[in-house]
Amino acid sequence: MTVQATIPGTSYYVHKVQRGTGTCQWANCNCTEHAAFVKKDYLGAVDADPAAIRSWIHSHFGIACSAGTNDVQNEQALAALYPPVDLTHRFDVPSQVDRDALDAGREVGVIEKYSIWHGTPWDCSVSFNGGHKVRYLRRKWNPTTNRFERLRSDPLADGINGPKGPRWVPESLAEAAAEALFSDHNVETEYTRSFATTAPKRVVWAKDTKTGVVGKIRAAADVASAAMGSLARGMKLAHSGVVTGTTWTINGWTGNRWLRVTSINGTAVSPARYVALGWVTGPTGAF
Amino acid sequence: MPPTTKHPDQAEHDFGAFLEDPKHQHRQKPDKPDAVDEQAIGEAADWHKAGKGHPEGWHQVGEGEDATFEPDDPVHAAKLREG
Repeated sequence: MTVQATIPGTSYYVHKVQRGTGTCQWANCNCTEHAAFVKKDYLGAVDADPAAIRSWIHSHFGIACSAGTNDVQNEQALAALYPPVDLTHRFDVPSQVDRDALDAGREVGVIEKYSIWHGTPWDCSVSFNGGHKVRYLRRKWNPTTNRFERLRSDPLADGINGPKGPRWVPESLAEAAAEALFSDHNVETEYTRSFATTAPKRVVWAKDTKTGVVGKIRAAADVASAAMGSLARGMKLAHSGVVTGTTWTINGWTGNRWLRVTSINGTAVSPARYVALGWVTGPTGAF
Repeated sequence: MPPTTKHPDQAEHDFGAFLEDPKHQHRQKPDKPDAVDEQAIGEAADWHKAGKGHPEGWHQVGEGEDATFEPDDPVHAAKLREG
């Protein structure tokens, strides 16, 4: 029996392959995975381009195609191209923290040493030994193999050397690969947004895709109430829950649930403001 | 009973508590040596020097598949960089 709590927000994932991204394809794992991070962080509402990220890094850091990029460079590129994306980049993290993040429904990105995978069924490059960026999408106990496993998105899994797309791998190997980069066996890692019910939500739509209308912050959970300001993509909304209000239509979808907002981009608002849930909800309905 | 994953709310709490700990706020690479997997690098090099191709169980590019990426191709080995 598989014991797995229901995790909100993980009903879909995005996988791109490193060598399908054209520019700098031989050293583009990090940009490829960061593009996927953007899509996940914006719940599918933004489709980031690995080549654009790579190009931004090249122009700002002078990193040529013959070399790879690091997390700091990629995060700066995302901040410029798709603001604001906060991936909570950390060094010196024990692997247990990544397990917690996956159990909580976050995606986890790590830098790993690829040689750990050589000789295993999950090896997608027999001659590559160095630093590699991958994402882990989920975590589960597998009663058949009697081990924890992680759903691994390797940008080298392109359908040529092994199947295209994510595969379940032993968690022990996943952690060994990430821990092998540093002498103290901690890992370098990043995390996508939280789907916890109390976590701040982020505006994912710059404007209505059907009408072009920009969203409003309302004084009440009512489309006819006073507009207290405009919404912008990426705006961070802390809240005290979801309430029922008048019916809204956003991107062709209708609903009557509103976010009761207590702080906007870190600044508390009183009395509370209201934002139609459609502005913070991705195409799959996750928020 | 098999081991279980944490409840998402508990996991999120534990995750957040760790990140808020001042000991774990490193956003730049710490000043410490990288680990080097000399053995694995050596083994891979030995395989290729000996002309053995793939060890047992490694994936091969099949006939008719995309030939733009050839795993035994030394050009590929030279091209793929850390990143």
